[in-house]
Amino acid sequence: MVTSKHLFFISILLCLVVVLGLYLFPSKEKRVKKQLNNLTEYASKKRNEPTLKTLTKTTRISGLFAENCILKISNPKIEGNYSRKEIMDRVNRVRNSFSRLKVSFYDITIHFTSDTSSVVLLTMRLLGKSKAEEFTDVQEVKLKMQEIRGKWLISGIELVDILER
Amino acid sequence: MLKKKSLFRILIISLGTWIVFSYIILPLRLEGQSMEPNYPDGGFRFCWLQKYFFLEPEHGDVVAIRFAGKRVVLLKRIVALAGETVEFRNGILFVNNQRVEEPYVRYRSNWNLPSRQVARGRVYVVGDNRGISMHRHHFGQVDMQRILGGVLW
Repeated sequence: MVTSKHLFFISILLCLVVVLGLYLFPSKEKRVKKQLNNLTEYASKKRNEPTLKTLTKTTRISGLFAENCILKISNPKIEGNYSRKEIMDRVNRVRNSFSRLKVSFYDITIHFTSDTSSVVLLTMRLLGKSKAEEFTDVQEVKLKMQEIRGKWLISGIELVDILER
Repeated sequence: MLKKKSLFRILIISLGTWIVFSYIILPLRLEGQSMEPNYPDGGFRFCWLQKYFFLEPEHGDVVAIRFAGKRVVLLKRIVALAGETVEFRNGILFVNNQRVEEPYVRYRSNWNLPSRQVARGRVYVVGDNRGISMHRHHFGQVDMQRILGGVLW
């Protein structure tokens, strides 16, 4: 005989199953967003970052990129296919030029072009200190991401020029 | 009965607030020095989102330019319209080869930029703080579609 007490517990259990299911099997969009969150976390840098942490973050950033990545930046002009190591060297050079850096993403739009590829449009904001001066910059960025061996990896980066001199 | 009325009021106020801040005015917290001294770092302004629905852009208008969305925008001043030419000679702005008086510019440096024409459907925008090196200053022609609206004051 099913009582209201039973019904209450069954509904609680169902809710828990749904929450657990969403946690264990996140949607594609959530998995892409998680990778982007990881990127902002690893790319950001606090003052006097220990060398070991820098190395850990570098390794983790490299894990977010595909083996080959297409870069398209107009100023300075950089366009072509770069290996994961080349991308890492560039990321490191940029990070090393800052004593502290905060990277944030806003207005993220994810468009899935197929089951295993997506195009992400976002606003990237950099706030930091390079040498002696404060640095602020904002860019619109278009990322191409692909699902490779269960992970959404960045396979293309384009800085969108909204102002043309 | 009173409860129903209160709920209805809250609903109407919430809906009104959402409409006002999504489609009519956008609050802006200013960060950066590119529009100083007229729009100082840390200041607060409102952007009228429907301004260019009713009016045509004009020289001197301060506009908000969107990136991928509305959460982070650029604040710049329109200095030239579509079809006009823009040039900087030793920090002085020339539009259609005529020197432009810019009372809003307090800090100037030696900017030099060869003449170029503003394309159709675009306007040329520059920040008021020309004391910043040209390479570090975001300026240039932008699609009108990127312009969210005009800054109210």
